[in-house]
Amino acid sequence: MKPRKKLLAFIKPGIATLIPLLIFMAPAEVSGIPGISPVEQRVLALFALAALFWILEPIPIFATSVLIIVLSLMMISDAGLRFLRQDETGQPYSNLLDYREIMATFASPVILLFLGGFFLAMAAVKFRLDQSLAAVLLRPFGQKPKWLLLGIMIITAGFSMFMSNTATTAMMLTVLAPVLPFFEPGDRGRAAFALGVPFAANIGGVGTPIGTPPNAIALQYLSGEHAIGFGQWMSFGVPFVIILLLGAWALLLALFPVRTPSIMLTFKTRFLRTPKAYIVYGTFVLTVLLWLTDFWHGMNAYVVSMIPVAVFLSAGIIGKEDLKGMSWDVLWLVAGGIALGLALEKSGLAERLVALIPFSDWSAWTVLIVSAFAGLVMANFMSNTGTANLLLPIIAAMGASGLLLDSVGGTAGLILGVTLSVSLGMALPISTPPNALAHATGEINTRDMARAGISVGLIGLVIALVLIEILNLVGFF
Amino acid sequence: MEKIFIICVEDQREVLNAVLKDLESFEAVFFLEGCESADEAEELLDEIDAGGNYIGLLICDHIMPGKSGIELLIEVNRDPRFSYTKKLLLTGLATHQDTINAINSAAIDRYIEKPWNVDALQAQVRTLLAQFIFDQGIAYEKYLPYLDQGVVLERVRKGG
Amino acid sequence: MKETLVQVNTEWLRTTYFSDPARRIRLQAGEILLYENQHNERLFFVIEGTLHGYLGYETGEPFEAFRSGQNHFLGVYSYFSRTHKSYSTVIAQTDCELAYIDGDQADTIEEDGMGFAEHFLPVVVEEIYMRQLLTQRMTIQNQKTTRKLFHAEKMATLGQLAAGLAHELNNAVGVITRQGQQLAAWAEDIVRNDDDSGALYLFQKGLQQGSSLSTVDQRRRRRDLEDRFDLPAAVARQAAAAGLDDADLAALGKDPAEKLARFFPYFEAGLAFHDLNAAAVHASQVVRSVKELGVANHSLRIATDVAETIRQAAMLLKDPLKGIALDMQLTPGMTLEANPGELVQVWVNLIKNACEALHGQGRRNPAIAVGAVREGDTARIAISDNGPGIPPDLLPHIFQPDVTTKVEGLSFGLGLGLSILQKIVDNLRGKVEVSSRPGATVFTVKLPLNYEL
Repeated sequence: MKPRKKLLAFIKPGIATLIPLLIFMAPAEVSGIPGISPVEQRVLALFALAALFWILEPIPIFATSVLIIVLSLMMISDAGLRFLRQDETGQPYSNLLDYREIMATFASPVILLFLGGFFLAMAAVKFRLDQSLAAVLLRPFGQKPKWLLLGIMIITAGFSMFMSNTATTAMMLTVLAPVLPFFEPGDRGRAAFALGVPFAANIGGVGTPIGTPPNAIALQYLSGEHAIGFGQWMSFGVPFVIILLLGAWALLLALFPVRTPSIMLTFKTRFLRTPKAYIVYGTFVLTVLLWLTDFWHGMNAYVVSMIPVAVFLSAGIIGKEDLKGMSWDVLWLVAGGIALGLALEKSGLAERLVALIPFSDWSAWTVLIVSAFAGLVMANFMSNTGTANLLLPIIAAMGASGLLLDSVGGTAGLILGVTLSVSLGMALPISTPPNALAHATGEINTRDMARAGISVGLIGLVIALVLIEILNLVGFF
Repeated sequence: MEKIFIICVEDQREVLNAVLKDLESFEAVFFLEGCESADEAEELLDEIDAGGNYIGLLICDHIMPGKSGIELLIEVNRDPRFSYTKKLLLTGLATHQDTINAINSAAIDRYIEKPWNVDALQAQVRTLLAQFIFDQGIAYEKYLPYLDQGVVLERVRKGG
Repeated sequence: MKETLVQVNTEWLRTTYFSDPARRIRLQAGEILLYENQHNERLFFVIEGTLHGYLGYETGEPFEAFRSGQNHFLGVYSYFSRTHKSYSTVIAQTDCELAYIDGDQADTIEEDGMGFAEHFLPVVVEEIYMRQLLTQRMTIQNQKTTRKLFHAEKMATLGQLAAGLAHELNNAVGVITRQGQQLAAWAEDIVRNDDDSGALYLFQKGLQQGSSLSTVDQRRRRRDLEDRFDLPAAVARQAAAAGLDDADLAALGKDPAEKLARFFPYFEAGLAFHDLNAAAVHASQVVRSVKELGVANHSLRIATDVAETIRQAAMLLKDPLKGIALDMQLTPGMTLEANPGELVQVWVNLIKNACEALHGQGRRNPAIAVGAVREGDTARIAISDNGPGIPPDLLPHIFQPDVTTKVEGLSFGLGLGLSILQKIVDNLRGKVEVSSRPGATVFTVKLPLNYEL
């Protein structure tokens, strides 16, 4: 390797490391934040590091998360480096974090909620429930491209509420891939189908708390008086999905009219009828029912999510090797976000920062629109979860700072608005893994994806804002 | 960032040029190397492995002076360093026995007859590289445009 | 024709039964003793001369049934079977003298106490035995002939097939070669008319030199270029592939990377034409060797020194023989009528096989021994190597043209090499033999020195 190339290779990690290091080393006065404590300054450095690493991705994003947790433990916890725990006079800092709390982010309730979701999804895939169910559900939509597209999008969205958006997209594209080449030559409708799947998967993720990782991070901040149950989430999530899905469907048909008169999808799978398969079907239905009826039986969504874990492990449906294949990276990515939020909140930095920004002059709606829009833009260029990891702690702090947010449903309204918008970033192949998979089919160019993706994102943003208003009006918050 | 190599072994220079030319497009994200003999290939394999990089795919001619393609593939197959390396035999002449040997002892993944069809060769390479990347557990995103969609989608679906 | 196993006391029988001077016949050569199905009540004893028996003599396509000479009996079947019909036509080949008995002598008892029938039993048994032997011999002969015919027919068919194939392929390859060259010249003109001399230079480099560096050297050169000229990897690869030396790079000016990116396609185009031509030449060589398999070339046969052809072959194989100890013990002065080129081809083929068996085996002290000695009127040439040997299951098949024989370091070119070789040796009425075990594989060629066309 040549020196010049070596240099290039180090620019990204260099910048991403140097800036946080400067913040860490600089004297407190330089920051321009009055009264900032040394611990807060370190949190600021950590935050900068997280932001730069999640945006520039010099290392995988889940590695950044773990890095944040480890650095937090070393630098701002009560079990960290000795000289970082006390000031010059030997007095211990008051705003150090409990190391157990930081470590617990690896197993926080939302993480385990997600783990439960993973178990359901993995069992479903293993017993081909996804494919056989898709086959059955798609049948009523016939062979007319227009309705078939709607069917595919509804099913994709529905599945992605419980499975990962990426896996759902992969599954549906597998079904679709053999058909796309048989479209009439030059039929733009191909793009409609190839885009319909990732869009529906991205949108569908909003439907349930376990649909997509940003939802989990939102749940983390919606605690105490703002706590939202699984069913409650779905009560606004599902309508949002349905409305946006119809909008996206209409938009795709308008942008890429389908000329091919009829499309025939073939499925080779059938429902498995083995005892284990029945356990999977039963557990799936039971878990969803329990999630929806938490008000009745008293077990919250987190507790319910552990049921499929226990059942599948006991029944041998998920084995040792399957466990190794779990998406631990997603869980740790979320855990890092939670840890970052924890550091911001517990050190008092979040509050201090929010106080600095002149939000007080802004109306609550301006705050919501600006932050939701920021979330949408950021999510287009970086991971949705990374965006949520960075934005939601600050948004939560705004709520806590005593801003007058009643007109947008208070803190909960703000958090939900941003969370929904973060899931709407789907303009580029790099925006989400489903987009990347769809782009790789070669049926859509980046321009078409951007055109459709930006439109769907903006439509979604408007619907989200309207939704918050309606929820506020009906007194949901 | 580790590199993934595609190695082509073919003793006839013209044929080697043709194979490399046909796989040129993969150079955007993969590293393509040609070798004129099995011994040279073994040295290169050692070197790449020692550099911490991967051999994603080994495309090998059958009949070569010195060590034959099948012998090379058998050795690579036995080598734990290359347990995920995909092996493609490209041959103009093979008997039933050779074929059986190649499959049983060298565990070749694909078998392509000369003269090859460019599209078919590229399609096989895409498939094998996709399998390698998922088998080896490498992040697939960067390589996506050069991988077989069917393999990627199936593996991603299973991966959750 | 004396292969009797049955003990017949001929002398005693002759004096006892065939001594009556009245019962004597003399035949001249060509006279017929008996016709097929002729009534015959006599049992003949050949005192002198030879007679042959034929079946179907009257049909004009006589088939020889037996030969009979001195002390043999004739008419055994017709006499003892009591059908009294001769089963064959018996013709004297030379002047003959025969004695005979006739009539029923079954009651005659001699002084030894045995009857006539008992005395002649051995004669009857011998007759039966001889007939059986004849049948056997005919069957074996028949099978041999059939097999030979079969092989000849197979070779002839293959030869025709090869000749036809060669003709067709030659036409096709000819067109490819010619048009390829035409196209290359045409492309060169177009590139020349372009103003940039760099493009022409690279095009010609590709066309004339092809890939001048081996892949190993290319890799080395590429790294060298990356380090010293600070070229990006892709450009360095191209420069190395094109075999550009430092002077060439210097000629590209300040920004060699930019220029090279522009000119490299010209090199690739030139290389494509070069490779096209090389492949066409290769194809025509293959066609020629296929043709030689089918069409034996008798056109040129001169007195050829065996030792000389072996030396020529060794010279042709200088390159593959590098690093191998070659021991040649050649008896001078063994000449035979042959096409020297063909003979060289035989040795080239065998020595090359030996080389390839040795290469890449990592065997220490690889060695080939070639010995040529005279054995009577035969030249015996043995080519042995200390390679890994030919797998036993393959050994019986290596001369078959329809069997591909490339196993574990043994290459027979197209898989036709050894069959071509056998064809050549066959035409010289010679023989090829092979014996092989790990560490010692010996091909032995035996060529009759006095064979003339």
